[in-house]
Amino acid sequence: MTQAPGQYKVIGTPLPRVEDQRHLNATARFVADIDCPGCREVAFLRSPVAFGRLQEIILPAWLDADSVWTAERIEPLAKPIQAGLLREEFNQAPLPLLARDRVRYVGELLAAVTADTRAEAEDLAESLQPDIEPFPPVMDAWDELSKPSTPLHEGLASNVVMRIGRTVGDPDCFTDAKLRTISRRFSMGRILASPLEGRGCVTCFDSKSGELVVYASHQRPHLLRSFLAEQLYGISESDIRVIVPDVGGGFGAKSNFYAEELILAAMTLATGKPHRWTEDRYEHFVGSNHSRQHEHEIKAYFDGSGRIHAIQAKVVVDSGAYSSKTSTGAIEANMATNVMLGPYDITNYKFEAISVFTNKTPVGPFRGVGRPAGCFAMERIMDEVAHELGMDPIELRLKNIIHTDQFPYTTATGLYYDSGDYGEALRKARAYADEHWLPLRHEGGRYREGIGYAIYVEQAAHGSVEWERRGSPLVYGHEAARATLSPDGSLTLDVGTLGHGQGHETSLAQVAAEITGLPVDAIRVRQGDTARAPYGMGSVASRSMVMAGGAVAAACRLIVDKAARISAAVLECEESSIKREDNAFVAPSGKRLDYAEVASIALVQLHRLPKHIEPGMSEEGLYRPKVETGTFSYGVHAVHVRVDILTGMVKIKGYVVVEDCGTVVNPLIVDGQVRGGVAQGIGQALYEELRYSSEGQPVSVTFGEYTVPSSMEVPRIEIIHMNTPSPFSEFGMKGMGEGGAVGPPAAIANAVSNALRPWGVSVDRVPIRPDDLLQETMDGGGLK
Amino acid sequence: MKIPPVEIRSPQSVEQALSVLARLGSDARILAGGQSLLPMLRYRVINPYALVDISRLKELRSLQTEGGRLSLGALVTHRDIEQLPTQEGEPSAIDLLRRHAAEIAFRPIRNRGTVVGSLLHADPKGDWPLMFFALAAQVELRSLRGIRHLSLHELIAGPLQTKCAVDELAVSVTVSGERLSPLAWGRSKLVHRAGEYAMCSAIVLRYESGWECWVGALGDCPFMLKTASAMLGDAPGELPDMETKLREAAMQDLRMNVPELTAVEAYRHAQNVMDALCQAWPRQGAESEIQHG
Amino acid sequence: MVNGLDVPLACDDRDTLADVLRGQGAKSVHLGCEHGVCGACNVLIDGVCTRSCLVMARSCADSAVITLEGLKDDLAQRLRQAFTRNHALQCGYCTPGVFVAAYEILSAGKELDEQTVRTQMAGNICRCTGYQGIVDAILEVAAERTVGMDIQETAI
Repeated sequence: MTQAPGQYKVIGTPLPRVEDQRHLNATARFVADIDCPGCREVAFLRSPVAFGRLQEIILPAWLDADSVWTAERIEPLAKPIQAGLLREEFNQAPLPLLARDRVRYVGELLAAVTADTRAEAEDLAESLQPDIEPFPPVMDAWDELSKPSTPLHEGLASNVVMRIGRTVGDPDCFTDAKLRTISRRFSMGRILASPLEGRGCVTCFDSKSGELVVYASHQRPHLLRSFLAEQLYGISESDIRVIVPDVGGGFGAKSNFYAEELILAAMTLATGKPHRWTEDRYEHFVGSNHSRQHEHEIKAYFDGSGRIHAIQAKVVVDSGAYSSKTSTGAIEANMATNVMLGPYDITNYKFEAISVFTNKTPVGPFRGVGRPAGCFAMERIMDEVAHELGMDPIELRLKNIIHTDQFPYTTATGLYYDSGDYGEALRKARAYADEHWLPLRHEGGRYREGIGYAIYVEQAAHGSVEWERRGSPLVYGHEAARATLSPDGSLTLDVGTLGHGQGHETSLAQVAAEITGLPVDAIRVRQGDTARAPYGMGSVASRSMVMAGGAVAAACRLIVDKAARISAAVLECEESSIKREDNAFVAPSGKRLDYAEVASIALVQLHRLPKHIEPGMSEEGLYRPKVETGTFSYGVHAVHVRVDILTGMVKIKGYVVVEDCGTVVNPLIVDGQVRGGVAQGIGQALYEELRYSSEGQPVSVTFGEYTVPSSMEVPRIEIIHMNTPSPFSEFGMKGMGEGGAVGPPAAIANAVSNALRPWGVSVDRVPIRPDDLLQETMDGGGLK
Repeated sequence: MKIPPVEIRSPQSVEQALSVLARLGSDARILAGGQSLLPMLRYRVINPYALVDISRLKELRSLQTEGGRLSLGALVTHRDIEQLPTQEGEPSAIDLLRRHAAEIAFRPIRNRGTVVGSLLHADPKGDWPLMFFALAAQVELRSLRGIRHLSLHELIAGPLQTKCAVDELAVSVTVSGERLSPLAWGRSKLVHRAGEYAMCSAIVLRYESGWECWVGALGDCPFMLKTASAMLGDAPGELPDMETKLREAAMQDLRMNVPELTAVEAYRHAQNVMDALCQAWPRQGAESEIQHG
Repeated sequence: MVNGLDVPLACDDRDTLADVLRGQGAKSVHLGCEHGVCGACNVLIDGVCTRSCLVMARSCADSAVITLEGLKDDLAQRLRQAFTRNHALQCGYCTPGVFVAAYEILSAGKELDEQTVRTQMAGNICRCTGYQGIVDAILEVAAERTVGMDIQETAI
């Protein structure tokens, strides 16, 4: 079922974004740009040691005690953060705001210092001397399981954050001697989101209202507000206002609730003075959530025809020193095992998901979260099975995917796939590769080319059922939008999501324009200010188009209905006889009212408003998906690589994404999300890794060492669209923002393996390192 | 990561700069392009009392190509070299210099960073030490005490260390005519992610007197592969025939200079030298033509 | 001189040009890394694209500095339109630095192909777009065959 061309007027058009103007005209404002007279600038003292006992922090005698905040001073103002899941397998430990007597990772907050400028605050922070007795740090999650060390957290028996596992389907598969097996050990390196703008906040008092106002570079304004109210002593949520200005990228790293925002709020509460902290690049490397770092043991059970009978997976994630709130240290492993089976009709599945505390920065969500790892495991093992059987990798996949007539399909882990045509996507990807990349050229034997594929299904916009199942103490599941029509006929939408590059101000306006018939430039989308936006869940998990789109649609329908009722009454005809023409309501007599007139009547021409209709033209719409396990967009990535056998260097020569996210609201924006996601995935596949020394020192803490891809590493990315609308969402939209980042590690590893098969190379780790490839080809006899 | 407290001295002439240096000595660092210096300040790798800002001293901008020599003043930028105007009959290595400069970091860094500054920074992974070792350049150091000319061997003492005294200012780097006119040259720089320091960096030069294969980006400072270079001088003929022996000789030279090299690293550096060499290798029937990459 | 106006350089010795520009109200100058790799802080100093986070403010006492706020000539306006048409920005944080770098490249007036644009723009990190929109916007404007402009004279 595909979207009929011309089915919608505004939805589906590649409108240039309304956001662009302020960025190009230098009127955008980020947290660092907020004017705040008398603001105290904050710098943090962070632990230089990975694990140890904090004896004391020595302050120089000349330092004004007022300008230093340590754990003792913060304690009466705010509580340590508690992040956990409501599952008995979850081992919870508190996250202190400023370290008290233990430090557990390099970068952990020890003290805060204030001054007139950030530079002076940093000078002061430099003058503080932390006295730490170091302990040997826990640095390897996999080894920690077989050789446990001292628990990082007193009160916990081990360094396991959470360990869950289940066998689904027929357990006999796993001992069936007639089945063939392939086992692999996979590794994915530690990376982090690295948005170009770090985190940051400004906290101040609005003397007029008495509110604590918090400007924050954050993805979830209302939840931040609730969190602050919960954590701070002596303030109610109604006295806190969160305002999120422009945000310079987030990708998940700005979705959790960190200590810094809370500490600044406490400082302002206690002193009455405004405070600002902006995260610099070093701080982001050590203080913002890390992500990925998986170790997998994957086993596929299959028969000679290529049918996969069962999958066994052990996933171990290096969670870092604490559980972050709300994702916790278990998010990666739990999600990876939950989504691993992807688009395949595999009903026998045995998995174990283990998350381990280590002395590194805590993990949190980064675009894709556990999905890239699940995809890597599944798509690599599929290629290995194909290679073992001498089968074409696409043919093997076609043999195992869920067919169109099986939708809606419930997976072994309970995911309710709504719609899709996985076979068609695979065929399209293959057709593109055949047309553009064959025949493969192996220049002079030195350069070997290869093609690799990866298919994934992207769960997004999941609702309460899913969060409850995960054991989340906060159970999200809806979104709200307020649509307000003004007497001049312009429409304002206040939404609870938080666009930070995804163009919501444009795409949500398109949804509103589609329903109301108003032109897009008469519509304003506002977000980020808890004083105006209805309580919302922000933007994470690729939820916004479905959730906020649904809420905007609901609110707009209420506006349209009311406008129609008012028109019918004023134009003296039956409501059912009112016709819609663009932004006007037309009676059979030919008389018409446009939105401006309707709004005027409802607000300031009350004598014309029938008594049975309430005044006002502001409606709140709510959206709660009927099916709460989410929408499932999907995609196939195909990569064409060239490997230099003599240096181990990999070059991407071509990249195509076949993607289906149901009904597309703005193709320009959707394509941008795909390409941006792929660029990040390429980073994970080839260029990015957060390395630690064995003593627990993070080694890559500059952009010189932690190399995110540039315009030379990211190729042109072709996109082929399919449209299988979701039967469950408004307009059939599906969330898709993360998918681009899910496929590349698997697809690129498959492509490089394909190129280097003659050397027996099986790429089981990302980032793919030139040294490793060169070692393999050297061991395998060099040029062939 | 703000710049730590530091004072800026802004001398109006080279002489004044030398006076300031004489007074402040090791408490001061020279600020020219600042592209290497400022990141070090931000990461608090160094913490000088003062910066002596020479960035506006016009006399240090000189770039001379007359008399068969190339002389670069202290404020000549990487971009100035990248953009050297083409002149008829220019020495063959000028184009090597252009290419070398164009591959340094990123354009905005090249716009501001100076050749001499980068050289005096003496980062073993840096680009200019390799070039000026290979071209046997001389660096002029001035102080109130007088003028010295040092070769690169005399100047570079180790990673990020030079023999430039605390009261001395490097005012120029000069390459002589003969070194500027090799019969052939090749340049190969292997970089993983654009703008990074090189994984491998090699320059191959051919003179009447013989071949020279120079390697940078490893060890404490650039060095010549003696055995491999000598082998090239001895044997005429086709490169593919010599390749295996050359590669082995190169790897041997590499290991001797940098014993901690892994097999993979040695292989890759040797391959990079071969790639540079291919560009300089005489083509069939074009022995007398100047060949370059 | 900043964006065409003579401004007194009131700063501490330790201030970088980026800090001073931002303090004067040029909020388009963004700090993304403060060590010269990301390019979000790019400005034109005497017509030359430079990392303002790696230049001391005092060194610029005699210079003419232009930030995104000051780029308003025909080339800049066409580049803005091309950025919007080609979806060359998402969160917008890298955009001022990208724009200044692109402006400098286009001002040279030379013919540009995709590979050259990608090489010349490698000094700008964009974490959102995957660069394709940026590259296409620059190629579009280059194809309009701009005559090279004297950047200093266009400061408004």
